[in-house]
Amino acid sequence: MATRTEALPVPRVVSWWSTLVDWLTTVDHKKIGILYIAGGVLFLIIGGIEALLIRVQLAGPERAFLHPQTYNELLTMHGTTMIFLAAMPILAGFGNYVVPLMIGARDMAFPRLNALGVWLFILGGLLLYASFFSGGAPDAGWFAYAPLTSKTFSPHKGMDFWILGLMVTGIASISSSINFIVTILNMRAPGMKLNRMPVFVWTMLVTSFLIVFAFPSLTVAQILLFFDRNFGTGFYAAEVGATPILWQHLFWFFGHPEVYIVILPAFGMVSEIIPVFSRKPIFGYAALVYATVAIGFISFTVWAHHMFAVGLPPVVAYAFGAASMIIAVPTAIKIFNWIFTMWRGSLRFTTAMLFAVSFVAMFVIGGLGGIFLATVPVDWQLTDTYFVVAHFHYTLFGGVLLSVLAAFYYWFPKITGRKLDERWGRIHWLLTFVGFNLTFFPMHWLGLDGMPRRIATYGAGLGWDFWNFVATVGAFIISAGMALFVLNIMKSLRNGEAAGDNPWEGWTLEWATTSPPPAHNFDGLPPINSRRPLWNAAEKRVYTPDEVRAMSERDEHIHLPPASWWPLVVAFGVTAIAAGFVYTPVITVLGVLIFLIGVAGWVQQEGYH
Amino acid sequence: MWMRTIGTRLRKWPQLVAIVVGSLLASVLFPTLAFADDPPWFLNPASKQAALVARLHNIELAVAVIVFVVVEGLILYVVLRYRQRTPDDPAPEQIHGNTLMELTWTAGTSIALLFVLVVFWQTMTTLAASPSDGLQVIVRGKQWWWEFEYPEYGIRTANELYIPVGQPVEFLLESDNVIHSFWVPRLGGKMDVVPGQQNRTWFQADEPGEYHGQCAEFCGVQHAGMRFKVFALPQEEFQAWVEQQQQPAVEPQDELAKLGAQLFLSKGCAGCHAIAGTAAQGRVGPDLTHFASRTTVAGVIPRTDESVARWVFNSEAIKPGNIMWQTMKNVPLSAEEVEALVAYLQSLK
Amino acid sequence: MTAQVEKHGTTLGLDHRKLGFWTFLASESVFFMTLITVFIIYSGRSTSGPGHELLNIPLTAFNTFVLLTSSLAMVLSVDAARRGDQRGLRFWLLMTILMGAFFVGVQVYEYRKLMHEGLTLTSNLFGMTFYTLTGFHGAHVTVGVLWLIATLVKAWRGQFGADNYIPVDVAGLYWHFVDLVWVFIFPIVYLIRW
Ligand code: HEA
Ligand code: HEA
Ligand code: HEC
Ligand code: CUA
Ligand SMILES: [Cu+2]
Repeated sequence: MATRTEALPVPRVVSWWSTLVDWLTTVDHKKIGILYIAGGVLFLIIGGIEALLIRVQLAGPERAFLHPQTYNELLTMHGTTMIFLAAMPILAGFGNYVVPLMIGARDMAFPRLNALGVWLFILGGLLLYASFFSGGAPDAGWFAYAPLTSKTFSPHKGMDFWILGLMVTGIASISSSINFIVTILNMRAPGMKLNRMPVFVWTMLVTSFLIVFAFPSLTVAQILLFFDRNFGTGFYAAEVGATPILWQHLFWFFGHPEVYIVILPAFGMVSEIIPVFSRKPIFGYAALVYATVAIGFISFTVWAHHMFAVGLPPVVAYAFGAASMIIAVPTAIKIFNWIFTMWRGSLRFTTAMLFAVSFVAMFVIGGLGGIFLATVPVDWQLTDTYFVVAHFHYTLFGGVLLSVLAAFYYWFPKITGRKLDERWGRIHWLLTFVGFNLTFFPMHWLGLDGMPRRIATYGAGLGWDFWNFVATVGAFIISAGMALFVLNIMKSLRNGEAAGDNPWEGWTLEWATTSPPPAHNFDGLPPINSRRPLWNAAEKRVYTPDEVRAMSERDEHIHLPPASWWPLVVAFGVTAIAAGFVYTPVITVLGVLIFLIGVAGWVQQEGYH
Repeated sequence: MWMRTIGTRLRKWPQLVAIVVGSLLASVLFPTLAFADDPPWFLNPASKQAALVARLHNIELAVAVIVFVVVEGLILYVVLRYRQRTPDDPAPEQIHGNTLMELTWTAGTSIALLFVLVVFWQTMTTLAASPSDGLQVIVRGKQWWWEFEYPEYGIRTANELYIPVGQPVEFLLESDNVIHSFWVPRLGGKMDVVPGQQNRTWFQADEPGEYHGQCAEFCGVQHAGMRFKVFALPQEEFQAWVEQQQQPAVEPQDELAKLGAQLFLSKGCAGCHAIAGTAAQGRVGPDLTHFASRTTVAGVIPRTDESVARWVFNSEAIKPGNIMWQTMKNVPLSAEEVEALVAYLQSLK
Repeated sequence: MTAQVEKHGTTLGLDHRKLGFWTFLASESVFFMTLITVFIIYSGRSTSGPGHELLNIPLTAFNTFVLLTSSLAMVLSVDAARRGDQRGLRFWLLMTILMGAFFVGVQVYEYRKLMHEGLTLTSNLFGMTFYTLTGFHGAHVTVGVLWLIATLVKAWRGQFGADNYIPVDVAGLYWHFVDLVWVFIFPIVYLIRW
């Protein structure tokens, strides 16, 4: 059943120009999802190369491969890129592609807002990177503590680029979250009750709420910083009676939820993948969903655990530490539910499954590291050391990235109609798994051995040399895996094995349509009476594509919104407004004009309700 | 295929576990400790405070190892045991969940956490008690060096902190620039040095010795170079050190050093550095009154004639981006002048 | 299975635009809550210079009254739109706009007077937090006025009717939100002496 070649897209002969216009004006959630993913992967590679440079510099003591200033810029851009321009967009991309399909919708609720989001992300990212060519990249670390970010201590414009670039991408995040919330709450197909939604949809919903509530705090923090740097205020300046600690509260009130913003969708993705390859339903669906919501709530109450060393009153510090640890309970629920989904299953170790299982195994290590850090006195020793670096790479790489890679292998056939090469995939997995552990596990010991993070170099004889070298070797092994992955994508796009509608025997609605799905997603939907619409409970198997087609009622009135240039125009306007603040005000004025024209065109465009 | 091979190997799991744990331990400790003169490994504490924290850490580590072994063991077991043997294995029983099991792991995790929280609280309260009879040291975080002032004794030093053994020392942390963090791993945890607020921390060294310290909050270009040393001395030795430091700077004896002293004033060094008993009263850089009693130059290289010369001639090559160079790059010094300055500086016992 | 694509059928029975806009306002609330928190944290910390005593409380109280009244006008205009009453819609929209513009005008006047008396964005913490908080609110009111003007133009062209009043409704939501924020700002900034 998995080899129905006629489902493959027949390449039409189209000029490159019309293809380009098609992508630039698209309002199709699937294309927008692909744009998000492609942009995110590009930034992942850039951020990865930055990491490699960092690792080369740190391979041995007292090396002078990079000037410390360059090191600091790379470090800042690596962190910022990975979080804001790689992890978030890739997750948003999969969300965009998969969520409407999973709930049986034709598109997102606001197709043009959706397109606006992706262009804002791409242009905002470019604006941030323009700093390298305009006098210096930001250099104050990804959480940019005041007063190091003030004009006095960071006189070049890097920090302004950081503020404005992230604000532009922040608008993208908020708008896409609003879109997800409305889509998920309001556009479910008949029968798709809340408690039948796939776990991934739930996690996207909760993540979207986290974004909506967390980002404004970052925006305010950045606005105040921008005023300090450019208009002579002193919101973070001790000289005028203010306190730099304010920045830390504002940033982490955003920053802590942010790490769950990136991990929850990752949780969601493995919650889809593990059951399918275990041929069993997810274990404890309700518990998983409640745990997701609980994590969402608690994540707003723990931000000061990043600030244990600033001199908080001990009781306050203890409360924040305890609240942080409590997150281990809902997380444990998830971990055990994944394990017991596999328990007594019939596990198929495709590449997607390998990545998903390693995700569970690795994330536990990251989470346990978090428990050490939440213990205030221990954190006084470990904060700002490589132990923290180890912790967050185990959660971000071992968590987010591994599950993103699992998702790639899982949904690539749906998106392109072809499978990724499984043999290469397995090698990719092995290199990634080995390289990842070699790179980041020793960092725990480096941290225990007193190696601070964010140091451009270190003295010999402290016991740090050997493990740093190992970490550098590991980073290159990861990169070899990543390179193989990129090659695999290119190869499989051209002549990968045809996938058919449902290559993995999945049971959520995205597998009810062709691969790739038509612009309108579904010709018709099968009835949705359970969490697994494509599961034939009587015979304990998934319905074949033909059976699904037979079950589905064809839908005659399909209304698709027309393509639109306006999202791109508005995105350009917004980015130009921001860019003017770092270059010259003329650009801002032009930006306002473009923006207004864009909005006017947007409002007037026919075909939207 | 290869999964199965691993599977058979794993039947001998007790040996395997022993080998894995053993080699892990050896592989961590050996490269870390063998190639190091004096690793700042905080689990080898040298003060009561650090010892309490190490204890808390070790208790947590025990919990974490148990959780790790249980969870990862479960994963390995499930993965090996329930893998599909042939592509047409029948579909397994469709289990949707089990409330009792959910309750079990929720309760299990909660109990483990509760245990950690109790030990955590105990340690917190024990550490919170601060001494009343401590020696006070004002610690100033600068970009990118440390100033230590002993108000009781009227002493100011840089990058090297001397403390008496067996007596609590209280540190008052100040910054007039960015945030730094004061940290001596084997003696105590970090405390940030925040402009506009005076944080305090304290510890009591129990063993005489030399300890590695380092700024632990990202503070700009030379964050990495913001290192310092702590010397914990027995009481008498400490007192002797104090008395020696209270002396004004020694007069230069030989011609070269005398020339150096003049150059020090004429080349602008005095605008930034203070040398007690001379006209040099700058406060931008470290107090150099007893420079020659330090073991390092600028906290990063051992103090030898040669390295002092390198620093004076081109500090940028040693600490790229440092503040001194921003002025001194405009003040070219000849080799002779450098030699004279070095002779002078090296005479400042 | 045709119901899933029925053009206006939504799962919750709420219009997408309203649901989306409520979500947006949730985000905006956090934005203002953060600014207000910053104001409160820094209130009373200014070491020197002009401060709270310069504020003209009676004038601002009157301005508050105008803004609140404008919300009433907005309610009436949405109601008119819902009933398809074009004249009522235009009239009440216009009243809302006038009152909103009055509010902004008074705020500009107030700013100029304060600056004249020496309180600027950079004078001290009070100046910074005062102008930032009230300024962002003022900017929101201004955007609201512009939005309502655009709505009025469309209303004049007769683009709204009983079956298509959601855009007016959404503009109204925004307007009420902006008013509501001021209800918090006014006592915190003007009435309480920190
Ligand atoms: C995806 C990202 C992610 C995730 C999920 C987490 C999860 C957690 N994090 Fe982490 N964290 C980061 C990303 C993340 N973190 C980043 C990026 C930073 C650094 C930012 C910077 O400074 O640059 C950071 C820093 C950070 C700090 C500050 C360290 C410092 O700077 O001093 C702390 C302190 O409390 C902390 C704690 C935790 C805790 C308690 C969890 C918990 O949610 C973990 C819960 C999970 C488990 C515990 C494992 C599963 C549970 C079981 C198997 C049950 C049994 C367990 C027990 C009984 C203990 N994190
Ligand atoms: C999702 C988040 C994420 C990811 C995936 C990574 C990935 C990596 N990180 Fe990152 N890291 C952070 C988030 C992340 N990091 C954050 C938030 C910080 C904190 C920053 C701060 O302190 O401000 C940080 C800090 C940080 C440090 C600490 C620096 C310091 O404190 O001084 C180090 C040091 O080793 C490091 C290393 C690495 C390495 C080696 C990888 C590797 O996994 C990278 C592997 C490489 C790739 C993924 C790309 C490979 C691709 C190619 C080579 C191209 C192939 C292309 C073709 C064939 C066309 N990271
Ligand atoms: C612009 C101010 C400035 C001037 C001028 C200046 N210094 Fe310095 N000096 C500093 C600062 C700041 C440091 C600390 C640098 C660091 O560690 O980052 C320093 C460090 C030193 C040190 C190392 C101190 C220690 O305790 O290890 C020596 C020695 C020194 N300077 C000598 C000189 C001499 C000799 C001159 C003149 C030829 C000079 N300085 C001129 C600011 C200055
Ligand atoms: Cu001072 Cu880092
Ligand atoms: Cu956190």
